[in-house]
Amino acid sequence: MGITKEWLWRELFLTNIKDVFEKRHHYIKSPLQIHGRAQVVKGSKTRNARRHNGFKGVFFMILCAPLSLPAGTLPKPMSDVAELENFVIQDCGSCHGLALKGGLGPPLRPENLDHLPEAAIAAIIREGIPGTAMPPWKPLLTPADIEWISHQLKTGKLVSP
Amino acid sequence: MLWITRCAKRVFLLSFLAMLVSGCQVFSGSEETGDGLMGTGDLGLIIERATGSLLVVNTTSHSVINRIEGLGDLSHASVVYSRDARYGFVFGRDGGLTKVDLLTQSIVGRVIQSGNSIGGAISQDGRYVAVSNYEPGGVKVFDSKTLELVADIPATYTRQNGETAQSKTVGLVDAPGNRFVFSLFDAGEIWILDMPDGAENSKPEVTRFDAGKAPYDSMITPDGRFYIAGLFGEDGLSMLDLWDTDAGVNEILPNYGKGEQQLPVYKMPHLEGWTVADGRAFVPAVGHHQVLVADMNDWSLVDKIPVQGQPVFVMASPDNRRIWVSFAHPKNDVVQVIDSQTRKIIRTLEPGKAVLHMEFTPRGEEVWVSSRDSNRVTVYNTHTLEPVAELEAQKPSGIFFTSRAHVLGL
Repeated sequence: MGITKEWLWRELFLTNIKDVFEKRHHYIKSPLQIHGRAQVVKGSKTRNARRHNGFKGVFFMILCAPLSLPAGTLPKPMSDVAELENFVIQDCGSCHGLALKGGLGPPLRPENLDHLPEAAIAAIIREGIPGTAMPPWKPLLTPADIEWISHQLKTGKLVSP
Repeated sequence: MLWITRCAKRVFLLSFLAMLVSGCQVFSGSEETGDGLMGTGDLGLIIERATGSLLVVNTTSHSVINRIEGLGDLSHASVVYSRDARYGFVFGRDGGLTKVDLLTQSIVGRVIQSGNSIGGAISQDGRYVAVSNYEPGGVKVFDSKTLELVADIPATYTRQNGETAQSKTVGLVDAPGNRFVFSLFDAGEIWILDMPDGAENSKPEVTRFDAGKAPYDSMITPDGRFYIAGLFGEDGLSMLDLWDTDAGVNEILPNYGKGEQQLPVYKMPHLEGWTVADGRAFVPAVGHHQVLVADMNDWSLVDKIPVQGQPVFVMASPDNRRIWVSFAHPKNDVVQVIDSQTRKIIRTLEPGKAVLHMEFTPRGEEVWVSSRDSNRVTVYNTHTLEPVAELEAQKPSGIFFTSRAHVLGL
């Protein structure tokens, strides 16, 4: 995938936050403290132990902060929102119906997606379902687009009553 | 009397707005024939898929006569015409079967006959209209005059695990002998439905054939002899010779994609509009940027024409001189024109964003192309390949002219 802003954010900042909350290392008081510690603490040579990132790391993170916030808040799709909405209704709608009531593909209204968490919906959109007519959309949609679509489908924002 | 003022206000407002916006259509009402009568031979219907409405158009004047509303969910809608070319039977996604009168531009009959339907056909004698349904899977047949249900054929089959289920039906066409032929997507079968000949107690009869994996759409040759189903589950097509049904279904163009990586299919090709030109058949490949060419004598693969995207519609102009190809998302802003003799692409046209359908005028001097996201239909001269007119339409999809009333299989 490469070193993207999102990756840096996740690997550096989130890691630090996680360390603090889990109180993994006693010497870490705050995620932004200036000094780091190069060696792992004795007894924590597990795969979860990681180097705490000091000032250099933090500065770098802030510099490279992605424009969108990571998971937890609704990601802003890369494409134009109106275009994406049109895409879901018209192009997904070609198989799933313009009102998402189904066709060649199953209905996608919120009541039909009850049993699927958003992450599962996103995975289906991304990877498709081999052996069926549902293709993988990852070559055409960015992860942010897919997350946005999954959220809209799950919450029923794209269907009129 | 209030309705007169209201009507007048609307007409005034409409013409005022029409004047303001350049290049738009003013509804022209009936054609100026002097005697107030109108023929339907040069009329057609354009589906406006998002608003559940139809545009009644005139191909001679390149104009919109009127809009008909209230057709429900037209996400994937198609039309067949009555024998007298006066009525259109619109098959809507929500299972709606609507009969519209082109002369009065109104709905004269409507029935919601299933939960989800994909298309339909009219019988050879024009008495029956059949609808191919996804939910519940099967075919229902109605009287074309009254829309009364005449037959209900559930597409039951046995799954591998022994359960019985009803399959989605696709590729429904009419065939000589007052028959209907259709395919079962989930079951991988082709069925022939013989309609009763009007004698007392005669019932519709069904004959079943095993076909290839997941037939997704079908076509029938203009003479009604060969029924060909495109397969989604394998590279190849299933063919049934209606002159020799004892031979069963044969696979043609097997392994056409062999050795090539199949691309994800973002829109199923549509096999309507059998394309025969120069003794060869042209069909869209599934999951490849190709149009396949088969020799009609032995059904061998003669050529693969590389095109700019995955083809959806591959249609020959009525003179068979050129093949027009439309494409699937995402490369669906263009149409490519192939010369049927040289099999080379001679032009790439840009009618607008998201080209969905193409329809030739009865003798083929022009072709109408719908661009969904540009909200317009562009008319091209098929000889010069230049645009000659544009009509506004809201999210237009299918375009169907009345000339279909007199063609087998359409």
